[in-house]
Parts: sequence; C-alpha cells; structure tokens
Amino acid sequence: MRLTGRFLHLAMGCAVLLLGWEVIGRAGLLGKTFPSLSAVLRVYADAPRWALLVRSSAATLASVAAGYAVGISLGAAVALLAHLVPSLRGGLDRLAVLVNALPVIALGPVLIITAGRESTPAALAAVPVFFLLYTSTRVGLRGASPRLELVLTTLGASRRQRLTKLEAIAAVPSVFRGMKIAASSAMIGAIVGEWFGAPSGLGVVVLNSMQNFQIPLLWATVIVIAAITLSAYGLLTLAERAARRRIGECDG
Amino acid sequence: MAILALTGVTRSFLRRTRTGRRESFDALGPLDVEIGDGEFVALIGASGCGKSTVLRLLAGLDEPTSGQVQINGQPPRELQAQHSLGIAFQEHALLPWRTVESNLRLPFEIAGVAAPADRIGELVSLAGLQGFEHARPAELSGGMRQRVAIARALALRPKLLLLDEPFGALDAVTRRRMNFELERIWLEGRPTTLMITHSVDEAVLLADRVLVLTERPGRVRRDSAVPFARPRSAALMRTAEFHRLADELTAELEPA
Amino acid sequence: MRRLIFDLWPILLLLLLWQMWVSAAGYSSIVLVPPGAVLSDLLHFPGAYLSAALHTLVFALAGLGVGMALGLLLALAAWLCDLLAGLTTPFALLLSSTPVVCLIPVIARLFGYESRTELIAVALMTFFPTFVYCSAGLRQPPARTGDVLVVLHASRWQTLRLLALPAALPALATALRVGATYSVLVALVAEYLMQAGGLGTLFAVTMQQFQLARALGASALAMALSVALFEATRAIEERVAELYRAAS
Repeated sequence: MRLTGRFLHLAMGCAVLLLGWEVIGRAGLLGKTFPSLSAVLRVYADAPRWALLVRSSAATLASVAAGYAVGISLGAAVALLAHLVPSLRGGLDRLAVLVNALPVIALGPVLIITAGRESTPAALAAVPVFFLLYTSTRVGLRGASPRLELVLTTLGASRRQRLTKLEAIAAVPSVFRGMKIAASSAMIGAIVGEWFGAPSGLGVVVLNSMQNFQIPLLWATVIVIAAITLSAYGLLTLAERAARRRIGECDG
Repeated sequence: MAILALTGVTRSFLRRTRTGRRESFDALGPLDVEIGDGEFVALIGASGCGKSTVLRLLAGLDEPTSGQVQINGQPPRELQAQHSLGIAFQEHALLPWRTVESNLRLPFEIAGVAAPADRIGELVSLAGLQGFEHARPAELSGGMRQRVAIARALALRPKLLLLDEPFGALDAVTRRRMNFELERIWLEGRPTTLMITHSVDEAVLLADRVLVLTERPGRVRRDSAVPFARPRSAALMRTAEFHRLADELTAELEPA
Repeated sequence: MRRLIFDLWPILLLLLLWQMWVSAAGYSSIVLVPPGAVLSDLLHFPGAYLSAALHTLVFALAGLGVGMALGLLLALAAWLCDLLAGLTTPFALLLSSTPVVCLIPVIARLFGYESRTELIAVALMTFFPTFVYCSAGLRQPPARTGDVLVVLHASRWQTLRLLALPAALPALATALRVGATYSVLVALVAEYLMQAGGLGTLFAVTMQQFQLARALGASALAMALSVALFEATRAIEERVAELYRAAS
C-alpha cells in the first residue's frame, strides 16, 4: 500500500507540474520568456526544427562519446598508476583536484585556437570525466578488502595477480558509479565547449535561440539535453547494478 | 507497576517471494503470556523465532495481527504516552552529537519536564560513568555506551523496561561484567523487565523467569522459574544447580 | 608543509609543459602566453583583479548560502508532509538532470542579463544536491534511534528537531562540499555570459581585447578560489564525520 501511495503522489506531482506549466505559460504569468507546455511541444512537432534537434543531438553525442572515452581511459589509467606507485599518489591526487577546478570557460578559448573548434567540446567533456573516473577508480582499487589481500598473499599471489584477481575486480562497482556521475559532466563540458564556436550541436542551438529570442526552441532544446542526460544516467545505473550483481557485492 | 498480558497474540508479515508473489508468513503465535509486577523475565529462542517481535509489540512499535497486548489493562501506546516505557537495543542508539549528560536528558526533554536537580547525576553514577558526563559517544567504549543506553532507558523511572539483546555486540568479558552491572542497576528500582538474549547463561543469571520460544512461528515452549536469591554472584555460576538449569534450557533450544 | 610542496610536482610539470608548448609552437601572444607572463601580470597588477575576484567570491558564497537554505527548507517540508514529498520529487528529478550551466541561458532570458541571474544560477546548482542529500540524511538517523523516540512518545515535530535534523548534518556537510566545488565555476560561466562583473567578465573582456595574460590570470585566480573552497568545505565535512563516528 505504501508503494502505491508513493506512486500516486508522484503521478499527482507530475500532473500538477505539467498543468501548472501550461497555465502559467499561456497566461504569461512569468513573462514572455516562459513558454507554455503546448508551445514547447509544438517545436517537436515541427518537422524542420525536429530535424535540427536530431542533427544537433548527433553532433553533441559524438563529442560526448569521444570525450567520455578519453576521460575514462586516462582517468582509470592514471588512477592505476597512482595505485601501483605510492610515491606518485599525493601529487596525482592534487593534480586531479586541480583539473577538476579548471574553469571550462578559460580552457575553451585556448582549446579553440590550439586544438580547433571541432575537438573543443570533446576535450571539455574529457576534463571532468577524467577527474571523476580518477577519483572513483582510486577509491575502488583502494577498497578491496584487506583481509582478502592477505589471503591472496598467503597463497603466494604476485603483485600482478593480486591486481587482476582482486583489486581490479573489486574496483568495478566504484568505476561504474563514477561513469554514471561522469555522464552528466560530459554533457556539460560538450555543451559549454560548443559555445566557443563549434559548427553544430545542442549547445549551439541553445546559444542561438537564446540570442535570437526563440524561447520555445530554447526550452525544447534544454529539455532534450535533460532527457539525454537522464537516459544516459539511467542506462549507466542499470549497468552498475548488473556489474554489482555479477561481482556479488555484499554490503558489509 | 506494570502487569503484562499477551492473549492469543499472533503476528504475520507479508513478504514478496522470488517469483514476485506476495505471501503471508507467520512470525509469531498464538502466544499467551502473563508477566507480573516487578518480574525480570528473559526470553530465549532460536534466531528468527520472533523474540524481537514480542518486544516490539510490548513497546508499541508494532501491532499484533490478532489477539491483544495489554499493559495494566491498556495498549502499550498508553504507557508510551505516560512516558513509562524504557527500551534499550543491541545498538546503543545514543545521539552521537550529544554528550553523555545530554543523552540522559533526552527523555526529560521529550516528556516536557525538567530533570530534577540530582537525577542526571544519579543516572551517571548508575551507569558508573562519573567523570565522563561531557564525553561524546565517539569517545566511549562499547560497554560504556551500552551503560548510557540502559541508564537512559531508566531515566524516567519506567514501569516497564524492555531490553533487546543489549549486550549482543560486546565481547565475552565485557558482557559478563555488564551482566552484573545490569543486575546492580535493576535492583535500584526493580521495574518489570523483559530481556531478550541468545545467551542461556545470561538469562539464568539475571532473570526470575525464563521463557523459551519455539522456532517460527514462535510459541512458548517452556516457562521456567529461576529460584536463585538476589543479588547473584559469579560464584553462583559455578554451582551444580545453575549448570543443571542452564543445560535443561539449552536442551530446549534444540529443534524439536 | 614539505609534503604539500612535494605533492605539487604534477602542477609544476604541467606548467613546464605549458611553457614548452608555447616556446615550441611559437604562438604569438594573442594566441597563448607562457605561464611566466601570467604570473607576472598577477603580481604586478593585483588591483586589476581584486574587485573582480571579490565579486565572484561574494556571488559564489551568496548563491551557495541561498541554494543550501532553500534546499534544506524544502527537504524539511517534504519530511513533514508526504504529499509535498511526492509533489517535489519529479520537479527535483527533472531539474537535477539538466546541467545548470545549460540552464543559464534560460535563466538569463527569464531574469535578465544582470548579476542576479548569476546568483540564481549558483543557488539553483546548490539547491538540488542539498535537497537530495538532506532528504536522505533526514531519513537515516543512527540505528534504532527512531524506535527509541517512538517509545519515548516524541511528537513528529520533536523527532524532527531532536533527531532527524541533527542526524542530517553530515549530509548537509557533504552538500556544502559538493556545492562549493562547483559554485565558483558556475558563477564564472554566468559572469562570462552576462558580462555583469566578476572574474568571468574580466576574462571575457580581456579575451576580446587579446590581453591573454590578464585573461589567463583571471582564470587562474578563479581556479585558486575554487580549490580553496573545496579544501575548506572538505575539512568541514571531515570534522563533522569525526563527530558522528559513533552513529552505530
């Protein structure tokens, strides 16, 4: 009964939200820059604008995927290095914090000129992904049960065997968790990267529609961004759960 | 004073099977138990037989599926409302951001009464923690935290004291010491007490009566009086009578 | 102290790489300048940076405060009222999945191209993690304490005040750390787009004028602020965790 109650509340909440949106938009209660739900839906129904959104999504997703891949490989690799070489750890940890603090808007112009307009979104996506994957891989590798380590060492396992048979596997759930969170950051990086002059992408559409006062299109695009981020997050959550089940993770 | 009566009490739960169907399983009962004023009763039984459920029903934390739970002829909620119920669990359940003194003050704050001037000091002495009034739970050992938890349960001089394996998380040596501490504390006010434990020795050492529950669904299998005089000593635990009673009860715990 | 300096080797390495890249590529100073030029500008003209840095810091902290206050209030309200919890969840879910930075254009159109958009953007970014973390924290008091309070006959309000709210402090500390980490960066993006003051605007303006050393100096300063806030809030989070160590 509790569960149906919560579901009902959720459904009611959604209904209120959507209804409120439509009403406020139509009545213009929040000004001209707050469109009604129907105005936004009409953008999706409009063939050329839908095609624009599809094309832009493809372009942005390509950058996101590239940045994601680079960020994950680098992040995990450097974390592995930090794990295997204790003396490098402190410095690499500090580096990761610093990388995370890098203002994307500062990197943007520099990258545009040095790396080109096309790769900037991917590069800006890679940066936060690197940090998040570095952190989660470090935490994951570190989290292998010390008792299990002891068991393996007593059985005569080499360092490499301990790594492959225990630590790397134990790190998988944490890595997936990092990948999940990194999806959102990758999107942000790519979109902001596009603001610096990328030829196409959802960020470009957002910027143009903002500057040209095309409010329904602006909102429609932002919703598409949200939907993509949410789906990616959902898929990665499923992947994380599958990984945890496969590893047989038991808490405590 | 607190006189407890459980009449025809059962408790069933709904749970989901692996196939997703909902089925009901009987955790407890039917149970008929009476506990007189000032009695110290120990409840023992195999894991999962419903001991904690009995405690939760008496505490008013749960409702029976059928039957009645009465304390002085009224539902447990009444005793709650009179702030006459004390409870301590295996987890100390102390508020980590409060000091020992402040934790002991909590029942008074909730009841909306000012703690009488020396009462907190009394409780600290009762717990044997003089000098630790301003310590936080993080600074105390497991045994010390449990002592605070029990002292807190007794703060408002409850008519009924409920203990759910209060020493389960402690090592054997500390546990034995805490058993004697509990008896000393209990003798001060002699509230009606129900204690759940896995240790037969602990039950025989502390209680006036030991109830043995069967496996799920738990029913009373044996109701033994413990004839030893109080206060009980470590020497008692070495006598033949003690061992005999403990062995009998242990035998009762074997599956039927 | 020695440890700290020792740990800075990757940063020094990066600075070295930067220096080498500039010299090797032979970029003119309107494309990229070496780290030395940036440092020199920072040291010789601190005044040029000061008011901008202050603006960014003030707005980042103000946005942090407002966002967290609102997040906490809503979490408390949702705890007290189940209906409200149901109503706010889809709203929170929807907005939390949209990166705030992408929302800045929307906010800008709603509230105008001024500095209040910056405040709202930072507040919005900190609002959601605070709401989510606090909602969880309120519902995770130490083991069995909820039961103890029921037995002590505590009212709903007493339970909130004496148990749930203090129990949510570690969650609040985490939300503070998460929010602080990104508050400067969000403020920076907003300033860049709104051009209404702060280090982001300084960056945008000096970039347009090809004063690269100053522009990079502004971003270096923003980075320093970001890291400082992160370290400070992380220390707070650890202190709180220390206090709550005996929660089970």
